[in-house]
Amino acid sequence: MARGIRTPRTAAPNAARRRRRVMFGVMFGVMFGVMSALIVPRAGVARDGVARDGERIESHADGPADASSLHDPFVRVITLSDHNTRVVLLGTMALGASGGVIGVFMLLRKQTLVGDVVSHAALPGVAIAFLAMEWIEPGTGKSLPGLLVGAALSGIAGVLCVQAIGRWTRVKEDAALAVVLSVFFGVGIALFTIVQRLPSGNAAGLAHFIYGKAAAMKADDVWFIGGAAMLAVATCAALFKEFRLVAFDARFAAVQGWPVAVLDSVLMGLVVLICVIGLRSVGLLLVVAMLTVPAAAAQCWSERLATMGVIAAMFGAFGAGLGVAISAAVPRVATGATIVLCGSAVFLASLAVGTRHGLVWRFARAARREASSMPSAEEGHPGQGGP
Amino acid sequence: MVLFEIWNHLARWNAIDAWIVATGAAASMACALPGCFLLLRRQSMMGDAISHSVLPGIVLALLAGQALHARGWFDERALASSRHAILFAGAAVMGIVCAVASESLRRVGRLDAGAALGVVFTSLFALGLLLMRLVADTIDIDPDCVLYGTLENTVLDRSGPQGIPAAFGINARMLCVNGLVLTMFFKEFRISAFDPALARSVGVSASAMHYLLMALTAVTLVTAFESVGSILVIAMLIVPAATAHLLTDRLPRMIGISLVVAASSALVGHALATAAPGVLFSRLGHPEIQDASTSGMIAVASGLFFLGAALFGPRHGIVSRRLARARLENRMVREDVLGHLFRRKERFPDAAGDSLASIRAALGIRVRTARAAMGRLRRMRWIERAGPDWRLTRLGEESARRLVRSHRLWESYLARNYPSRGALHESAERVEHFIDDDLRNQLARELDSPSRDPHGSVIPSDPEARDEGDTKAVD
Repeated sequence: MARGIRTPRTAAPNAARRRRRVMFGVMFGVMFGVMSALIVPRAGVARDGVARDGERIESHADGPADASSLHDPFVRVITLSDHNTRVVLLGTMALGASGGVIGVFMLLRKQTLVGDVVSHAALPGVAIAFLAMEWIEPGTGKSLPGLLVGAALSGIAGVLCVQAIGRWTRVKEDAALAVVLSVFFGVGIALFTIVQRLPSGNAAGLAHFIYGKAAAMKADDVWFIGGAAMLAVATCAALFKEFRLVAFDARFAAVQGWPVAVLDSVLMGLVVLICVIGLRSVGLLLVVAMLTVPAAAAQCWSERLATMGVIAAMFGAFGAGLGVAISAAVPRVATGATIVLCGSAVFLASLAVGTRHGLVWRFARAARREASSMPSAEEGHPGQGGP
Repeated sequence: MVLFEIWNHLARWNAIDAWIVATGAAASMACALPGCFLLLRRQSMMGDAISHSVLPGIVLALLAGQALHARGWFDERALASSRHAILFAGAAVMGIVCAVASESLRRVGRLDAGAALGVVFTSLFALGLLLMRLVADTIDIDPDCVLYGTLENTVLDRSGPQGIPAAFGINARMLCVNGLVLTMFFKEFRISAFDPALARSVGVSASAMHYLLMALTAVTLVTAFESVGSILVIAMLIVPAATAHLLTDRLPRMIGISLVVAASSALVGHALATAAPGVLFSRLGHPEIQDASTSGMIAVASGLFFLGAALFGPRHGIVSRRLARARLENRMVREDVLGHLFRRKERFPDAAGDSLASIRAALGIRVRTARAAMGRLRRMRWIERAGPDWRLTRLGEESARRLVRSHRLWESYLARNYPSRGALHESAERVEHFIDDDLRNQLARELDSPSRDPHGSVIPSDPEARDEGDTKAVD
């Protein structure tokens, strides 16, 4: 309706801005490409011995200390000499980068914790999908795409419930989040105990959705995760201006005639996408950290949205990569938790030395101001020493 | 059939089931008390964050206990008996750390409150998971148990006096402590929940109450942990409080309702856990599935209570509100029908009545609405059939007279006080439904009981007032 009064889209055709937007997408693509280049040749070589490769992946899942390996596990991780480590590294880094980008928009939209609800609400979907697939065709219950579709659907149902509660009842948004999160998780846990009692359903595979098991990632999963991550980042780049407008001032966007509800739904869809692909590797308990921590860290460095997005993507990828490397090198360390802690370390470092709000700079500035104002304060009130 | 099956399942309950319900109810009620204040302070997600953050606190506290034991400061029995005290200390400290850290991140790091919470609790929880995995064999803690809780197993440890399960004892004690603290500081909690600025100005330290609440929440959560797990305690913390919030506006009543909801969701939850899977899955060809996790089902049951309150709560329920509006709309249609019949009789005193079609055309309402309204009016004996048509009864005519009197008095009132205003009729059409006897009499007095409205129509006299007038005339 308001097309007529909308500010013209082509106002100030800022070439630099457009270039930056393109750069934004290209950088991610290049990063993913470089990383893929690391893995593809070996994967090609290994293709003639797929069984051997699968075997190695399985053995890695139990612990990196391969009995036949003569090398120190740490050295092997550092030098990326393990095919499986590269696979896992690539997958989680793609996840971390895309989570960082989406997280920036969620942070500005002040809806970070929605990601927590999505991931917890995905649990009953996983269990229901398992039960449904077992019921239709016994033995197929653990097919990953089916489980992920179930997870996505129930994650979306969770978000819709939060919105419905916020819209039609007097319960405030924070309580709506807590209610939906815990009740959906309760449904999920109840269904999980049922799944465990099925003759076919030792829920070992399903429990990975809770804690995450990055080490169990296979090359196919990585292509899937990478594709989904690319899709998420590409959507953000394509709708960058719209998302920015909605993130900073949703009411203004609505007044200008932008379909705010649709844009919000797209953003929520991307959050669900990130949460779902993160379920397997980081686990539903911690996947919200992929959305929160890199974005929060990026906020310490810049106030420009595009810059924040790029920084968050880099931090996300870096934290995820570091976490995977550490957990591959050190025995008995859970990958998901390590990834989150690496992200937190990056956040703390950013909080300390970030160029935007860094504490160090702030203290230094305060100290300098004090130092420079001290003598002037004494000079400024010469008469104070009087009787 | 289904009911009988459910009854069969429930009839098999024994003392263990009773203790499961009692323990669940105690834990749930203990959580609901601080939950009410968290909800009112809009810090429900803080409860979520604390329940995640206490994990490293628990692990570190247990490790510290072990270290002291290894140094010889604690012997085996002292360690076992002070296990809960150690857990509580670790949890309370971590709860406060979580609250302080997220608050300072929000201030110093200029983060959004939600994001600050997200950063803090995911980091602490990850730390807890990592620690737990690393030291799992040196301390007595089960990772799965912390997450999901196994209420069914915890009550089997009946080491309390007279065979009371230890879990019930500790949860009941926590309930008492919470009740005591909240009673002692009820005024302070209430004022700082509703208006922190006012609290400060009357000398109540809102931040002290805040941290007291956080510590209390953390300790309560840890108590309930072992029974129901770290994520489902959020259901116990917030859902009963949110349900009560939908049902009432008064704080003491809200606390009472939340306690009732908490206890009933434990009962219903265990009933669901023992009966629902068996009934459902025996039909799907899996008779071996007979029960599900009770703690999960308690969360489901409280969710059902919440849903029920959201839909059917008397004042704020979605369905109740719709019904109230529908009722109002129906009453307005009925009154419009009455008014229409009255005016028609005024204009054509000889006509018997009016047909349904003509009433519908005059009021612009749908067939179903009109039928419903006519049926109701007929049952109230306000209208009756006259051949194919409808006409007012004596009773109906009195109500219609009052309505039309309200309408025309309002028009006169508007015309006198707001002479430049048009659309007198439209305004009166809306307002006539809301003018009661008092207001009508007042309008009549103010306008010196006019006999005609601005359009020249006669204002019908008040049925009661006319009787009064008659007696006066006789006098």
